[in-house]
Amino acid sequence: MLWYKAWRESRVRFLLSISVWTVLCVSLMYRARTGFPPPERPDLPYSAWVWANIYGNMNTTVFIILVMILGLGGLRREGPVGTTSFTLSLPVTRNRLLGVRATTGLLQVILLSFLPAMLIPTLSPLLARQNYSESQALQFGLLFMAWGVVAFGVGFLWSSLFAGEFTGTALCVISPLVYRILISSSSALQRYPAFNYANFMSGLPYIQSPVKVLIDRTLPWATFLILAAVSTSLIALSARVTRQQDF
Amino acid sequence: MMGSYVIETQDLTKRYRNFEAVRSLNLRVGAGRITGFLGRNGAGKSSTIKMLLGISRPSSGNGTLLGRSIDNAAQCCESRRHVAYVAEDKQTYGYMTVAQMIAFTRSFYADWNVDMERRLLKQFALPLHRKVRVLSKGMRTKLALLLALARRSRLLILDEPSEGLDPVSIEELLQALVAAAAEGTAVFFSSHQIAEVERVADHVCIIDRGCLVADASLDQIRQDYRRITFGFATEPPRVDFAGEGIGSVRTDGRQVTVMATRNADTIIERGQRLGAASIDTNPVSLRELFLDIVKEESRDALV
Repeated sequence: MLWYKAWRESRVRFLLSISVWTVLCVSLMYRARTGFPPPERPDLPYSAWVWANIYGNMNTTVFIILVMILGLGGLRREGPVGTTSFTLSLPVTRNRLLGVRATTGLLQVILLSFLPAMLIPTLSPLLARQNYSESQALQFGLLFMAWGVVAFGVGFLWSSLFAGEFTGTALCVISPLVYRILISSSSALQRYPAFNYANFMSGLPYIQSPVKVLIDRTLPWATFLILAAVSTSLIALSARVTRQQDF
Repeated sequence: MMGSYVIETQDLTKRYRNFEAVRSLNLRVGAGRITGFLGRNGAGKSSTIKMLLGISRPSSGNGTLLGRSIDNAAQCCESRRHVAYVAEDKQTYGYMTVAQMIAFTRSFYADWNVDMERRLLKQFALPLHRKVRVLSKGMRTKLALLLALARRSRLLILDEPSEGLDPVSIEELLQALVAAAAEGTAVFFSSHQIAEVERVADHVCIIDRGCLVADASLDQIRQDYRRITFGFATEPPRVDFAGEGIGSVRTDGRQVTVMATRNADTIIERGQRLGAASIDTNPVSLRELFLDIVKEESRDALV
């Protein structure tokens, strides 16, 4: 039943994220029906249209904010509604409470990452009268997921440290923007493309042709593992913080 | 004696920055009886209960709940399997319906009593399909009580259980506590409603400003505790009454009032020897005892 609790407490945020992402995907395909190719770029490939409207530009930051907000919730957030005592009196350890919440959230992040991969190749022929490669969509999905789990971990940590509803959400909005400014202003950090989430998720380091904007280089599997380890460490740190907390 | 206490603490202390909510508390709660945990608002009752259940961590000292350490997360979790608890705020998940909340809680406990659940549902007239968030305060309290009472737990801990209940529901609650104790469940409930404690408790622990200031059975209070008032014809002699069996001494003009916790006869004899013109002895109610102790403590704090 802890799974049920974790789902009930995150489902509004999850459904909201799914809705935002679905609207973005469907609108790009719907707009392509009449507006693709644009008159000024009659030779523009549909893959570039998809990249510009989903995988590139500010959408990566929108995605990061959405998954960070998915990481919110938990015991600190139960404080203001007064249910912490009830939850902590259940015969389950704090580690288990957090583990269930983290697993539920990570599954939601994975679903959200691969939502374009489910929608765009399937609906493009119907809505845009275009085709989009499933393997491309899956590869972009992997890139989104890799940084998505890290962003989730950050949101998860914020929610262990700050009780306020507003504080956590504000931090989730501000953190990626501040991080992006920090990365773009540091030449040392720019040497590592994986550090720049927007660059990494949009697949730029793995795309040869700026015209087609398709991933045609090998994906960084070692980086995926490192990002997964970072996410795990952030969640473990949240668990450590929560174990020490008084409620 | 180990094993006969469901709750046992040794110098349990809880500090919040510069404020000590609980100070070196040595508490023992026996199995199979109803223990009232009395204290004023902010006396440290809820802080003690939260430490016992692992909701907050002791700053120092230790304790056991059903024989397992409260400072060890795994042991504390194991003891919570056998403890039913009603928190002070009685909040449960607002987004669930009453039925979902019952199903959710039931899933954690092997000792859930379905018959008792049905009986309490009927008795409390809880609307099964209504969301918890729209229930009245009284209904939320009843739901929290149902979730705790619909089990065959070894220990029932209730923090201000009657708060928000109407008189009929309070009566039903008190009867439920007596019934639970009759079936072998130890009941430990905090309250500042002295009349409720006096009605159902076998034993009472009084906490004030984080310290345990009284620990006695109700029978002991009825039999041994006496308020003895000595009237003197002249200024009362300046004699230190403090000693074995004397809870407090108060001088008011020519009258000296002694709260005796035992040895009342010896104290009366002492007063006679000192030349008391009149001696008035009265049994002490829990209310009088509580007020006497708490007022005494407040005076000490002011000095």
